Amino acid sequence: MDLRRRDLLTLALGSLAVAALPRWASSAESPTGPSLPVPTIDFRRSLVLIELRGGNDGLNTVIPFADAAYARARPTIAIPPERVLRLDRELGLHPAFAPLLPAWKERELGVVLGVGYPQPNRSHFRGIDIWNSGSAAGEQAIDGWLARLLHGVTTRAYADLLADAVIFGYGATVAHGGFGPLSGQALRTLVMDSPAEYIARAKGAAAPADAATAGSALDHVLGVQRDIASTVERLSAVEQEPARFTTEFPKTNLGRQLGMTAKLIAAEAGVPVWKLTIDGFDTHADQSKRHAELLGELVGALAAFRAALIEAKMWDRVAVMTYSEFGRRVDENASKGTDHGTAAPHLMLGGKVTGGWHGKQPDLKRLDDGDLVHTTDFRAIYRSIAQDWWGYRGEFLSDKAIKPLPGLFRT
Amino acid sequence: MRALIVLGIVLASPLLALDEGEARHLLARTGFGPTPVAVAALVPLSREQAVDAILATATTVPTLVAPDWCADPFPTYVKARKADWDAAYAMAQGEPRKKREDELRKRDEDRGWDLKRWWWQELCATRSPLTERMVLFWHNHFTSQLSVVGDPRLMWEQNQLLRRHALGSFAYLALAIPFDPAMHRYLDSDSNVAAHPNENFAREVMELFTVGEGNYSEKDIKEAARAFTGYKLGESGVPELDGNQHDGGRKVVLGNRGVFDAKGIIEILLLREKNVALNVCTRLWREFVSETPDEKAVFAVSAAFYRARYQIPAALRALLASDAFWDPANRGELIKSPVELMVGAVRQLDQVVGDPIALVDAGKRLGQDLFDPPNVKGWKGGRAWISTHSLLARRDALEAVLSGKVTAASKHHLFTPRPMGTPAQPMVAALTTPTPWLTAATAAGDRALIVRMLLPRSGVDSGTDVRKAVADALRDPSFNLK
Repeated sequence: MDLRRRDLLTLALGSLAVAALPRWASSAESPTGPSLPVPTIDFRRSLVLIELRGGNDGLNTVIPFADAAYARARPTIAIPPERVLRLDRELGLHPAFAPLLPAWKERELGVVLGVGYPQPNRSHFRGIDIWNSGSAAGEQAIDGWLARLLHGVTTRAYADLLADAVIFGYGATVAHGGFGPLSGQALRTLVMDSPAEYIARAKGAAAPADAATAGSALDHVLGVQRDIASTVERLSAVEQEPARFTTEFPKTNLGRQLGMTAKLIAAEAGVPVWKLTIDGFDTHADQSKRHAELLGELVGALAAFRAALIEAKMWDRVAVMTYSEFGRRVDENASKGTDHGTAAPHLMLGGKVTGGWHGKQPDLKRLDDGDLVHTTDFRAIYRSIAQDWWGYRGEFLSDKAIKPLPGLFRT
Repeated sequence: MRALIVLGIVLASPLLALDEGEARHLLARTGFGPTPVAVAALVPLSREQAVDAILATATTVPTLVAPDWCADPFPTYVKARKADWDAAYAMAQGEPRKKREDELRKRDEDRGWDLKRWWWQELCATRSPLTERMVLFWHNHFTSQLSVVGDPRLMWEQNQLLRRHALGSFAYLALAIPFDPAMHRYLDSDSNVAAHPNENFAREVMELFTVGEGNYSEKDIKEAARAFTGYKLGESGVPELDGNQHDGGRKVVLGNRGVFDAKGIIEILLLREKNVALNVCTRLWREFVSETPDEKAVFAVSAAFYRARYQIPAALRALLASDAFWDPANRGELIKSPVELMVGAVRQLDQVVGDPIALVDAGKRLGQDLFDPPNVKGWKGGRAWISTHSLLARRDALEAVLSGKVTAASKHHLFTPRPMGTPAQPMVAALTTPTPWLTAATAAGDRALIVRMLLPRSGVDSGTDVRKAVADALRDPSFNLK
């Protein structure tokens, strides 16, 4: 069914479509009456975002081993063709991806190729702003794309959710400008190093007895204080339960973060968005070893995450997406590293993700000033997640013309 | 004190005099937390006189001496730094060269920390809280990020520029901005050359710094970007025009046609006085009055601003004379920024900060890392300061102030205060000289006074123990408000 027809159907059969959604989504009535369906999302489904901070080298992640231009551009850091995990006649993955090959074979690992946007920005800070806000290069939209999407949606499911989002990694979040894709609108975003740490900090944060004039600044502060009191109770209950899986996670930073995420998702904590970070991808010098370690940490943690959630029978309800401020230049530099570039591939992983390649690998013979030309706009992935993963029918991108990536999720 | 009272009687008729709550409100909104001495100084005055008294404290000179690496004249510093890097690059590839480059990078990193410490300590020690509030305001208007700019000295120079004009002329400040080395780097002006114009600076100048969104077209940005081409950081370290890389052709910007350079474009923008003034005054309103600007009232303030040819005190006078500012319903209705929260607590508790590293750290954790705003739009501010995690972090940070951990780090000033005499005007002296008050209030058993000074709203306090008054007030949710 094509998208337009589906949209028409949703409008025509508004109430029927809503009835198919979970109870907490359908129980809330639009305050403005039933005529216009208020956008909602399927809260049983989680999105796990993993930021590869620093700009991941896409060409050494998904490797065009058959293209002679690849080896030519990278005399010292190209992955030799015999070491590439070949997935077809042209493309393969970095050897660090071995633990995720089962997911590829089960067709649960999707790789979106050549992800970027027009007039790419090569500043870390501006680059990640663009990705976080889901805006065009020349646009200064500061609110995060998920904040815009979730704003007003989650309040309707308030009681059933632990929080709108959880961000793991305190310093990494605040030091780099707030909540990233979740910044802007006032969401119930829990930022923590670990649930245990959050619970310890929040201890004694009792729900305030004071009342304040509705809408006043004091009322806002007291409301947030109440949120802390209510979430900490639920979180500590979940945290004390034994994990609903036996899979062990790697003892890496990301392994620990994804382990906690898995435990809370398996316990149905009720959090639509999880945001995690793995730092260190700004590989300007002596890239090879460091990059292999970083990909190893990522892949090891993801393989465990998949195993744990399959075990807990929650794998169909999770979608993982990686993102990064930019890819890196095609030619290696004089320090056996790579400098800031443009488009790069990104991973989608989950029980309902359509495995295999999505989009088109950028052509190494058609470069723009030595950089890859993007073939998929990153906002198309956002659109797919909104529409096809969450069933969201509202508008959250400033560019309404951005279409979803066809078939990124299985129905 | 006696002179003050006499002054008060002479200046103000009792009918127009402020009450304690009003004086407290004015001090809380224009500084970092009121103290009884400052409140007493303002109480006999009328609103207008009180505002003038606070404006009279304005200064362009910081209270503390500069970090030692800022002591040399800027061009000397720039030359020395360049020589260091040139020497490193001249070394053969290998371990010693790598080590030297790491040392130089580490030096910048250390100086970045030094810079942040300096400003936090200046905020705690300042004789003119209003000046610091305005430097913070302009830092959030003409933003640059140390993490992008790289060289901490450039951010220091920018801070001095903002300081010189903080309560002076907005027009002079705006005209200086294209020539500010930190801004030049921050908004990619160095790569803006005639052959490949980069629109970054042109766009922010219009959207954020001057006329504001909706008051220009994409074509205006493209044309203005051409005028900004070819400015290069020269030997002296400041942007200078390189004729070969500058587009000297005709441009059409906002309907003006001519061979404009950077200064010419800023002048054209400043001529759109209604737009510029409205943009700046709406931000000032959010900073000083309320999060929901009253369109008509802001319009009046902006008219006063542009009629005074962009004199910043004129805007503040109009703003602080507005009914909305004094409306009791607006009292305690703004959220303190992390800087206001921490500096306010330190100052109100009579603490002297030696090494402010704990404050730099708290700022980072609470989301306001000075010299490193999150992006070109600066900190969003207001209610966005409060989230589940920041509220917990605020509580922890205030506990650290209470337990003396913030001041415990050192016993001496990291940066020495400049020698300063007592100001000739008694009113200025009362508003600028730090006067410890807590010990006396505690000894007198005056819990009510302590709570009234620390909290913006009455009726929250239910305790009785005077020794716990400070802790109770700092733990009160309304300590987050001003």
